[in-house]
Amino acid sequence: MVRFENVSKTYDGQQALSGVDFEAGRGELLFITGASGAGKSTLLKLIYRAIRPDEGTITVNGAAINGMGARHVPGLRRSIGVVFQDFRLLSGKTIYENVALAMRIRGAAERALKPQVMETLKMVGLRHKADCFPDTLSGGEQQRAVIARAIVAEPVLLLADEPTGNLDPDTSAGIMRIFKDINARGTTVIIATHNRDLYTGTGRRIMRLASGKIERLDVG
Amino acid sequence: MSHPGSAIAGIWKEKWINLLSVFSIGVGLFILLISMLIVYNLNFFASKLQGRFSMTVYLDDGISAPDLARMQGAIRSNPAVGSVSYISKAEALAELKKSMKDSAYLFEGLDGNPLPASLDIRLKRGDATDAMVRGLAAQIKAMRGAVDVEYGAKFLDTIESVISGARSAGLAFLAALLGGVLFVCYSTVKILFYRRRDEVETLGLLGATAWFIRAPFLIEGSVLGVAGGLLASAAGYAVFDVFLAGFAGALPVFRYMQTPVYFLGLLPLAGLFIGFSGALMALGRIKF
Repeated sequence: MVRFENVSKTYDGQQALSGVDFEAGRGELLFITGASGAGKSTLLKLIYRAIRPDEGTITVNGAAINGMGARHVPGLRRSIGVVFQDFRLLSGKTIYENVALAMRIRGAAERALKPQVMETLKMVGLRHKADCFPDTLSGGEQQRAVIARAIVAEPVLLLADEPTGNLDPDTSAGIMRIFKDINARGTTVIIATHNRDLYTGTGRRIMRLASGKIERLDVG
Repeated sequence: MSHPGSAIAGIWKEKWINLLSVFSIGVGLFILLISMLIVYNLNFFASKLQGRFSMTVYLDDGISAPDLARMQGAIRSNPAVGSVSYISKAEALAELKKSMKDSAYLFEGLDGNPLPASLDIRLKRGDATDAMVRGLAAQIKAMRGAVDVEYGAKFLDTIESVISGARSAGLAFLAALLGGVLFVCYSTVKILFYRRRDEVETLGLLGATAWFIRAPFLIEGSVLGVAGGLLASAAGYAVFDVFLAGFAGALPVFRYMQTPVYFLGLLPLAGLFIGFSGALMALGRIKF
């Protein structure tokens, strides 16, 4: 589903990733871990083409995205659900509208929207908060709203950047359960986290990054 | 929320900027309306202008009676012509002598009559346009027996060049005003776009196409333009119906002023076009 071949990226001369090679198979749940600044977020941003690599080849769902023209980028992004580290919920829209936005962007008919959005909000436990604005929600609730937006259109690939950021252990466990459910439905899930509790005992692959390089591959 | 819904929410969220913008567009379009009115009236008066209301055709001394009759018939059949009268050589001389009776000595010793016979043509007021006068003159000149046609061509040329200059200046002013109104729309949408750049960036990251991102802003720009146009129309209506009508009684010049009502309907359409174009220019290329 995702393949990196000798991928490097620098920011103003600072090496963020260096010669990274890895592959995440279809339907896999992969953890990327490492200290802050290890290159986890950079790696995810490269996958949804928020940034471009300096070197190497990136293939997502069979398409090489390095030389992808600007007009094809929206299509790539619509095939991916992203749980952003900084949430990126639109403050002027309700939770329902934020989640529905992902469907509208994909051209979903208004009739089909409501059942699917409400079903997804139910799945993340936010059905009762549909009409609330993001600012009135707790951190955990906002996180779940972002997950709902990322999964509502059933993407083939789900990327999550520090999805349990500063959340308490119970909330983190609840969010992890959602990711496992989504993965169980066949979606490839890549989670960047430094939260050990999230991957310990999962039996899934863990890719450890240090200073922009793959330090080692483990199984949780 | 659909695109129109997003646009309305966006307009309400930034209502003060938008209100100011609508007011500026309205003022700009109102001045545009007045300029259009001036240009329109210049054109109207130019088309109705008569260089003079009479024309004189000097005839060859040897013109035959049938040629003269043919010429008179052709002139009478022209719709701009009111009447045609023949002035013989003798009548012309008598008329000249009468008008110069204080200088009668000038005619002493005059051998024969040097004055030509002529046709005095009276043009219909209101129906004879410049083009018709010129066309008629050219037509008569080409007839057998006509020596010269006098109709004040120089005067017509002068008036025409003055009106043409005023019309060009008016059109240049119109273009500058349109540019100004376009800039107001451009700036407003640019400001709205920058104020919502986080939202725009998020939409891009979620996979929205450039047109999906542009749509609410284009609708907003169009709504601002139409609202400005309606404001200008309302002000224009007040001017047409109240101001000009009131002044028409006091100053006769306003009685002849043309106030085409369809101009009022054109303003919201112009606003729509300008608002949409300004927004499109402001958004430019959306980068991914």
